Amino acid sequence: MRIVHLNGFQFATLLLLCFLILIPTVASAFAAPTASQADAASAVASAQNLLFNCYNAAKAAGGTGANVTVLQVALNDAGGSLSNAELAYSNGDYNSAINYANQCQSALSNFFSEANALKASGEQQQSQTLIIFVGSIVDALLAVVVGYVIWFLLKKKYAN
Amino acid sequence: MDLLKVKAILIVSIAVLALLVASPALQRLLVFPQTTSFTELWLLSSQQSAQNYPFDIAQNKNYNVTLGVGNNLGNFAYYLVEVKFRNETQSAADSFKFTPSSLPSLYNITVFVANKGIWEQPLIFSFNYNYDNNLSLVNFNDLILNGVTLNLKGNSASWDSEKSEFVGNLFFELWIYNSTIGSFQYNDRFVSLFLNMTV
Repeated sequence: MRIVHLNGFQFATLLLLCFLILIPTVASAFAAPTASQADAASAVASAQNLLFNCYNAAKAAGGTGANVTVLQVALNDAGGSLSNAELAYSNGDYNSAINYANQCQSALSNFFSEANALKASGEQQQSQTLIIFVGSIVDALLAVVVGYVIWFLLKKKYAN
Repeated sequence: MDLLKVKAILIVSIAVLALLVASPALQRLLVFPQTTSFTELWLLSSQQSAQNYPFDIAQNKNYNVTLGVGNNLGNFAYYLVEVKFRNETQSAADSFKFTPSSLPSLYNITVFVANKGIWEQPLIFSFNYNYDNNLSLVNFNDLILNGVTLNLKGNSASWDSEKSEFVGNLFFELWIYNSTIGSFQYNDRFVSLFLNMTV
């Protein structure tokens, strides 16, 4: 076995090479938690925004008098996941936070189409109700006018 | 037939007919309008009643209560129930000043309720705690609420010699989302459980 003796310059060069090779590995090991935290923060914020937007859609659908029970169930389901995502994030468990935030988003995948359909159906129901409301008032007034005309004709007949 | 009788019959007939025809409109007009908007928040015991709440709390034993929210606001509402825990000396929510506790929330329960709807959630909780050496202090480790572990490290309750209890207070504050300002506001409501930590 041959032992190689390095002078000071060679040793320093070798040390520098080793350092340069190790830098990316060490840096990635230290950088990983920060990147994951940013990802988790972004996932949780996205889920929160989605929940706010879905709530506004549900509120608009509910305002038309539509039965929004289905929307309420979906929102509470997604809300539970968001609560868990926020807790996991505050505990520093960023992977779980991302998973829960994704679950929240999945629970609301068809939400807007359902909310819009319910809103449209509610608006249709509202316009039908308005037609019945106005129609019944007009019909009642018509009944009074017809009654008055009958009375007028009967009075005329009795006078003769 | 006498003209007066004919007139009376005609008036009554027309009045009845007009009322019948107008009934869909009258149904809407004669309903007493909703004048007050409010939210209900309640906490029931395991027997679904406002009595026999859990009080003496053994270590790591499960206790059941039911939390409920009723929405009479006239629109779909988005609530947040903040779960908090305190000892006798820490900040509490105030029913008279309508202020929340300054303590941080351990967990936020997200709740959506349709107008005139209710939401109810069974809560199963247990406490993990231990006593200090001379049995004068309870040190809390965790609160497990519906399977979720909430960190209570750093929280403690001293012996209350007047009541002969280690008093802990688990309470639930109601917050509501205000879409105009885009944030949650305290809804002036909370429900709480006073607990005695005993072996």
